[in-house]
This record gives sequence, C-alpha cells and structure tokens, in this order.
Amino acid sequence: MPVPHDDFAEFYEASYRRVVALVAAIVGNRHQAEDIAQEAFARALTRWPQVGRYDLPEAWVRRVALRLTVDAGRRMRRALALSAALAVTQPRRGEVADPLASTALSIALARLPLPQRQVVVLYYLADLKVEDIARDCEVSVSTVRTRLAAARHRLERELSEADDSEQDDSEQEVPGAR
Amino acid sequence: MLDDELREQLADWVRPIQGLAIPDLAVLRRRARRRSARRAGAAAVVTAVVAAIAIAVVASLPGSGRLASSQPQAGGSASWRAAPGTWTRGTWRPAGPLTAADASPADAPYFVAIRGAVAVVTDAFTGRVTATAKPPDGQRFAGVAAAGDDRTFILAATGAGSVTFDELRLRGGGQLASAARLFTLPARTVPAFAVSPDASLLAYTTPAGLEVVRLAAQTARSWTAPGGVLSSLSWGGDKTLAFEWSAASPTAAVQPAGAGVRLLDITATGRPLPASRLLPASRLLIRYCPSSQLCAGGPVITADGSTVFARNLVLSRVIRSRVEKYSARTGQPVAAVTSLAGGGTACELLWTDPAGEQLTVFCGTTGVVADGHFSPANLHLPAGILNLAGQDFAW
Repeated sequence: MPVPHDDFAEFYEASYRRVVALVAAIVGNRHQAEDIAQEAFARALTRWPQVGRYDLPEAWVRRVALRLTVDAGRRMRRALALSAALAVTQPRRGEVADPLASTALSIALARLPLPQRQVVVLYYLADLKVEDIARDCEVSVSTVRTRLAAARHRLERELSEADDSEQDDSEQEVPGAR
Repeated sequence: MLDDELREQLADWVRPIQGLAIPDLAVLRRRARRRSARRAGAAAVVTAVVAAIAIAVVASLPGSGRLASSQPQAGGSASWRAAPGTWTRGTWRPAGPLTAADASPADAPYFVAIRGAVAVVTDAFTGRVTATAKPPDGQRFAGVAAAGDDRTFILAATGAGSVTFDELRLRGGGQLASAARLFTLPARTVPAFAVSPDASLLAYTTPAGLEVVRLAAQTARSWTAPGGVLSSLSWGGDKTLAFEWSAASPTAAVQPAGAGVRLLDITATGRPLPASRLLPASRLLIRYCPSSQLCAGGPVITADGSTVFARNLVLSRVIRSRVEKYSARTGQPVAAVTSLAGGGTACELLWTDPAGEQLTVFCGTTGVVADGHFSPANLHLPAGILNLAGQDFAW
C-alpha cells in the first residue's frame, strides 16, 4: 500500500532544518547546505514509498547528505576556513549571530579533514552515538572512534599552538613590557 | 572542557538556521524530476562529455590560448578568445554615474546583499531596503560584485547545473533600473568573481585557475594555477587584478611557494606567459605567513591600481588583525594602516577611495580608516556580512 504523500510533507517540515544545520556545520556554507539538503530530500521524495517505511527516514536523508558533502567539502573548505577566520564573535545588538564565530576553536574546526569534521559534527551537534555515526558515515565503529580521537587531538594541538602564538605576539607588540 | 566548547560552538554556529524558511515541496519535486531526467539521459551526457573533451583537446593545440600565450606578443589581444558560455547579445553597458535627471539629492551608497535566494538593495546610511531582485525560476542568487559607480552590480545565480551572471542597474533612490542576463556557464557552484570598476571586465575563478571575460567583446583569457586556489579578487582599473593565492587545502602544512597576495597584469604579453603557469604571470606582492595559518589576504586595490590594502591576521584565541597599505608598484608596505586587536574581531576590507586615502572596513563594527585611525561609521551594512561564501554582499 503506498504511503500517503502527506507523510513526506510532515517528515520534510519536521526534519529539514535539522539536516540543513548539520550539513552547514560540515561544509560551512549555508547556501550549499540548503542545496545539499534539498537534493537529499528530493531523493527521499522519489523513494518515499520505501524510505517512508524505515524506522528513521531522517537517518537515510542524513546519510545521503553526508555523501553529498564529500563532493562539496573539497570545494568549500578554503572558504570555510577563511570565513571562520573573518567572522565576528560578538554580534551587535539586534544582529543575528554569524554562523561561524571567529574563535580559535571555530578556525581549528574548519581546518579539520572532512571525515573528522563529519564525525565531530555528528557527535557534538547531532548528539549521535558512535554506532549511529558509523551507520551514517558507512564506516566501522572503530573508525569513528579513531576519527573522533584524532580530531580531538588535532584540535587540542592547534589550540595550544594558538595560545603560544598569542603569547609570542603579545611579547612582540608590547616592547619593553618586561 | 574541549567537549563542552565544541558542543557550544557548534550549537552557536547553527542557531540562525532554526529560523530558516523551509522551501516549498514543489522545489523538491522539480529537483526530483530533473534528477530522473538526468538519469534517463546519462548515456547521452557521457557521450557528449567525451565529445566535449575531445574537442577541448583539439582546441588546446594550435591556436589555443596556451600556445598563443606561450609566444611573446606585441599586444594583448592575441591571447583573447571567444568567451565560454551562452551569451545574451547587446545587454552590456559601461558603468557610469547617474545622470542628473535620474539622480536623487538624497542618494546614499547602496549595497546589494543576497538574502535567501533574492538580492536586496539597501541604503547604507539608513538601512532602508529600496529594492529587491528575484532570480529566474529554478535559480537562486548566490553572489554579487559591485562596479565602481555605486549603481552597477553583477549578480551570479545558480541552479540546474548552470551559473548565470546578470547585470543589475540602479537608478535614483536605489530603485531597480534594469536587470539583464549577461551569460550562462555550465557549472554547479558560483565561483569567486569580481567586476572591474568600469564594469567592462569580469574575473572569475575556474577549477583550473582564473578566467577574465571582456563583457562587451565577449572574449576571454585564462590562466591556470596548479597547486593552489585563488580568492578575494579585486580589480585595479581594467588592467590589474589583485587576489589571494594559497594552498588548495587549508589543512596543508605548507603553503605553495609564492603564496600570498598577488597582482596580475592581464594585458602583459611582453614575455612568454605559459598558460599552464599562473605564477610567472602574476607578481607576488605580500608573502603569506610562513606557517599554514591564514595571514595576509583579502586584498582591496584602488581603482587606479596603485595601492593595495590587505589584512594580516594573527590567529590565536583572540584574533589580532592588522590592516596594511602597500605600493602596488614596489610591493613595499607604505603604512600599517591600523592595528585592531581584542574581542575576537577580524577585519574585512570593503572599499577604498580611488586615491587610497580612505578605507572602509568591517572590524566587528563598520568604520572608516583614514590617517591611520579607525573611526566607526554609522553604516547600515547587513548583519553577518562576513558570510561564509564571502560573496553575499557588495557595494
């Protein structure tokens, strides 16, 4: 029996923003995230009689979107890193916060390799378990754990270097401070 | 600690998306139909692509840009060829100020920002929206560049596997005077692009490097840039293009030799210019910092091509940002225009006057730098102007 089409509309309404947010955090570009999310939902629409019967149709859409980010990721990483470096941290009153705040952490995140960034976003933003991340990324659980550990290690290292850089910079910019 | 920071950071990043408008289901249905059509025609597409590649290979032999450019030429015209894409004839006009009859005494600088899929024209002094422009059906605007007359803008729209460039003209009061399609390229994403002050030249990045199009003549010249990517294009008149060139991957441990802010004389033909090598054709102005951190970049060049402003970032927990002024002729720094630190604020260079005496910047707040001092300016530039793609705003 075909699944009523309204089911898809409801599912789409409920999950669209979540998928866009997830993809935006990975590719770093809201427009591209919307494009990817729409493509993933369009594919779900064409297969809705099947996808609609899954326990978690959103997981299917997420998986498709993740595959699409691999293509997009290479193109967008530089733009992401640049804009992460340039974005403002503190929005003025009444302004909407920029999706990429200019903290050292945001820059370090932007510089993670895409596979690591994917698992970081799925783990810390989507709050998925490593088993679910493994399913979405189509890799083993141990690979997810390895990528998460590598990402954490890299972030800690880069933040530590950033601290050193800041200290050096302060010393250079304030001659005679000692 | 890091775990908490990550959760908080990511949540902050995507918070604005919670207010995002959900596209109508019809958009998905159109996509689904296009996808079905694409799949059905896959074999034909493959055949066409193979044929196109064969043609391109043949075209790259005698008479191609590469061979023409590899020989010293007396003038610049020899290496210009028919521009790629599908063109609308007779739509281009040079940039120029408003006529007296059309101008309004209250005319302020106007900026164009991409909001969702549409382009919004706003009075920079009051923040009042004066006009909006919608993209053609099935497309969305995804980038904008401004000419030097405060009324001519080039909009890039994407959709259905193509990128189109449209020219938008304003009349007095920031109202739309005209919108005209210039040309369409087969591409899925909008490249970085910039229009010259007189609106005669459009430069845009390609997967291989850079292409410059003469809009009136519909001719083009290309440069390839292996090993790196171009960004932050800025025109100095109709001859010099300033841009940032750096490693293709921001995770690269080492930047390619010669990375930094570079200047390209698009007419230079007095010596061999191998089309396969961008770097010899462009001049390094400001070297990237030695590490893989982002440093010199975001150049803005004066309309006469004599002066280049660039930002220098020192990345740390609190970003330090300096704006520096360079002589385009000597490549030497003329002055550290301003040093702004603290608050996690980086600076984006927005505009300079033709003499290079004033520079409009966004350093957490919008302001004007003159005589080495930053003064906040009450400009109603859009929130989040330092957007992800860097092309959602122009003035």
